[in-house]
Parts: sequence; structure tokens; C-alpha cells
Amino acid sequence: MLRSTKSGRAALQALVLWGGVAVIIVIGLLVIFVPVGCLIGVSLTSLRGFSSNYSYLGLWNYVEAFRQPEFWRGARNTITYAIGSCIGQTVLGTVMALVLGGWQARTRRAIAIVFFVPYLVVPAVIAVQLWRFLIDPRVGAITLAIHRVTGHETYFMSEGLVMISLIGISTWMFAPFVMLVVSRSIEEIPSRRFEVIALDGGRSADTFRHVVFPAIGPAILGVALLRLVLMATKFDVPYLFLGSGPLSSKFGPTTVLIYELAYERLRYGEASAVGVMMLLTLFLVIWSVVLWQAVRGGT
Amino acid sequence: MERRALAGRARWNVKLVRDFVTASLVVFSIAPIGWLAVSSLRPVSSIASAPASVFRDPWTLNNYRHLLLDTEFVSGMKNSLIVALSVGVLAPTLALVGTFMGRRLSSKMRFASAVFWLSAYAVPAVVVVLPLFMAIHFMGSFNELFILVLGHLCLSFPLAYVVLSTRAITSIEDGLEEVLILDGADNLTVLRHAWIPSLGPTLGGLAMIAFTISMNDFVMARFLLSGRSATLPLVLQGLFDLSYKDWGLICAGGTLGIVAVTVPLLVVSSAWMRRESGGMRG
Repeated sequence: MLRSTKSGRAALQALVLWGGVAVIIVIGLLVIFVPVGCLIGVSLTSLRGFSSNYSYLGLWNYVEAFRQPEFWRGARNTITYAIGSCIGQTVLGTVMALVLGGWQARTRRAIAIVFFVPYLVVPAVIAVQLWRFLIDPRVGAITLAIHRVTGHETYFMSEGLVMISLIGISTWMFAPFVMLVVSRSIEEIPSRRFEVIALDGGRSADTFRHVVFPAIGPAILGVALLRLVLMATKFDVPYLFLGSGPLSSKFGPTTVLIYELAYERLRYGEASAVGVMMLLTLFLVIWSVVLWQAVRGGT
Repeated sequence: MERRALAGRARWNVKLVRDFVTASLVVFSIAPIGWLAVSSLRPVSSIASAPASVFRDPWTLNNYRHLLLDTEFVSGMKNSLIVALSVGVLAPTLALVGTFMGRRLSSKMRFASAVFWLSAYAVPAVVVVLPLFMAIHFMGSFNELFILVLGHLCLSFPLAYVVLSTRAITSIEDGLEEVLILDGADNLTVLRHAWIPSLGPTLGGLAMIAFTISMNDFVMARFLLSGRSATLPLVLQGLFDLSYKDWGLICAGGTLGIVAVTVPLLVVSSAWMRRESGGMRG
């Protein structure tokens, strides 16, 4: 009786643990193998919509994508958006972290929570609507304030300002992420280093130059790279901010182009080809940096 | 004496700059949200008439009433909570099981699996969702929250797995697992008595991150859902996409949407912080 209870328990355990592993393998398949495999497979076909009538095209979709000006426009917009918002987030996040470092622990915690609000509790949809509300030409508080001060109408959704506005919103949303990483590395600086420089009569600028900056430099570099990759693959913020229309086709990054090709024009083959190229570029960038770091560090 | 006075003044100046920059950043971080909340309490006519004075017109809850009674907000919220709570529980649990079983692999296999999941984290959501969308269409089971839970697990699980597998090495008390195994403890006992107590704070943090990622997600929901199963972000975007923009409604929706993410986070994090001191933070 006891033995059968024990073997039943062991079977249940095996079921729970290996069942969990099976689910993980399914997720693994869903996350990487199926999407990437499907993407590559579909990119070699003429699939449009859900028609079963499609043919093998080889690399034609890739060639066709390279010929399209919208592909290059998307790539250019991706680079502008990713680099612009990465710089904005890194600078603002670092300033936030440095400012936090100057406060006592309890105050620092409270301020950090406030700084973290846009990143943690404001979904992309609300963040974009919130800023579209603030910069609306008719009712926007920012537009009205600028009008009151300068006497000029400012159209943040005009062609000259739309990319800057998009970068600004992304900076507001994601700078706290950088702050978190950088402030963590500031906290890890041994306090005796600050004491030594204070005993030597060093000023705040000296402390920053000789103690803080060398300690946070690698963290800034790492988090900036991560933000660059994440912003290059961002879809929701640009899509929601630009809407579907002329602004989107002119200023949308590659992710928005993939969406338009797949879901609006139902050209799955071409959309997949652009997706594959984006993925390859991304992995190339990530692994180049990883290898560069490994070679530089001698590991 | 004079040098000391100068040093004191310099310190005072540094403090002044610090206070000013902090105040500016605090305003920059939360003033937009405050303005959204205040605008949600103003009549639509007051919002649309520029320049509007916040305190001139009486405040009203009409926008909220309209939002809760005349739109899909409540069902969107319900769907979002179902999906986010499922993902919040499943992502850390599966990551725990995966890491636990992964520890039984050789070091080379462990490294390979870490690289695999790190690579998975770098695959953009828009790329994952395209084949998922096609596969679901061909399978015929469309418009299901279950599919969205799977989609969100694709977003949260790689992060949870990578974090847990690195934390497991440092967090589990030295030798505890080995002692339990030598005592003849089975896998579930080791998991319950060595792993879960040591990784508790990390698991709590990961549950909160997974919950937030799921509540905030627009991309997966946009592609995988429609109609009755719409989640909160889709419902809110629907309000914004109307040809006539009812800013009162949009502000009320935005404010309640932020509250919907904040309240569960506060409840879980305060309970968690009472139970555990220290640990990982989002």
C-alpha cells in the first residue's frame, strides 16, 4: 500500500516536472524555431493573405525589398529613431541616476519610485495618447503654453517635428530603465573611494571625473547598447504615435513597414523577407559587440 | 576662514543645483500623468475650449461614467487581468521548473540553453507575432485569450529564465540542496525547501514584471485578438481611433488604465516587501 502511494507520488512528480519542461520546449519552439523558421520559409514564397495559391520565389522578395525606396526609408527611420532615442534615454537616465546618488537612502527611494512611474505603470498606448493630448494643436497644454509665451503656433505632428516628438516620448518612457542600471552601479562604488578624494580636497567635479564616471562608464555603455537594440525593434510606440497614414509611411521605422506589408497589404512574403533582414542585422550587431567585448577583455 | 566660507558656499550651490534638477525631473516624470488625471475630471466642453482654466469649471465624473457604462472598458479590463494574472503566475513558475531541471544538465548544455533564451529575448515581438498570427489562422482557433497568454509567455519567459538561472547560482544556500538530496529528498521536496525559499524575492519580482509586461502589451493583442476578447490597450486605442476625439473619455480611460496597472503592483509589492526584506527589484 505504502509502496503504491510512493510510486504514485513519484509518477505525479515526474509528470509535473517533465510536463513543465514540455511546456518550456513548446514556448522555445514558439519563441524561436517556429517564428524564425516560418519567417524564412514564407520569405521565399509569394504568399499573399491566406491564399493557398502561392509559389516558391527563391530570394526574389529580398531583391524586391532592396529595390523599394520604402525599405530604405524604413531603415533610415529605424536608425534615426533608435540612435536618437537611445542618446536621449542614456543622457536623461544617467542624469536621473546621478541626481539620485546625492540624496539620503529613504528620499532616494521615494524619488526613484517617482522617476520610475513612466516606465513601469504607463502602458505604451496610454503614454502615446497622453503625449498626443499634451501636444494637440487645439487642446494641448504644451502647445497652448508655447503659444502663450512665443505667440507662435507649434505643430508637433508636422513633418519637421514629428520624429523629434517621437524620440521625446520614447525618452520620457524609457529613460528610467537606464536610471535603474546606472544608479545600481553608482551604489556599488565603495564609499572609501569618495572618502579618499574628499580627504585629498577634491571637488564634486573631481569626484565625478575620477570616481563616479570610471565606475559607471561600462554600465552606461552596456545599457545604451541594450536600449539601442530594443528601440530598433520597437513597434508599438512609433505605430501608435504616427497612426496609419502618410506620417506612418514617411517616418515609420522598419517594424511599422513590416506591419503595413503584412497586415494592411497582406504581402506576407515581402513582410517576412524584411523581417528576416531585420533579424539578421540585429544579431549581427549584438554578436559583433559581444565578440568585440570578448576580444578586448581577452576572454 | 575665507576658504572655509567659500567651500561652504560651493557645497550650498551644489545642493541647490541638485534640488533644482531633482524637482525638474520629478515634474517631467509625473506632471503629464497628473494633467491627464485632472483633465479626466473636467467637462468635455472645458477641455476643448482653449485656453482652459483648470479651476474655473466645476469638476465632474461624467467622463468616467460614460467610460464605464458606454464603452468596452470593463470587459477590456477583465480580459487584461485574466491574461496578465495567468502570465504573472505561469512565467516565473515555468522558469523555476526550467531552471531546476536545467541544473541537472551538463555545464555545456546549460550554457547553450542560456544562449538560446538570451537570443530569444532579442527576437522582436513583431517578428514573433507574424508567424503566430498565420499559424493561429490556419489552426482556426482565433480570438482566444489563451493564445494571448501563450504569446505573452513568449515575451516574459526568456527574461524570467535568464534571471532565475543566474540568481539560482548565487541565491541558494551553499550545500542545502546537496544535503537534502543526500537525505533522500525527492525533486519536489528540494524545490519546495531549498529553491523556493531562496528564490522567493526573485520569483515575486519576476511575477510583477510578467504581469506588467502583459498588462501593457499592445503588439501581441493587436495581432492576435479582436472583437469581444479585446484587452484594455485595444479598448483604449479604439477610443483614440474614433473620428471625433472625445478627450474627456480618453483622459478618463488613460487614468483608469494607469490605476489598473498600479494597484495590483502596489498590493503585490507591499505584501511581498512585508514578507521579504531586500531581494530583486524590477
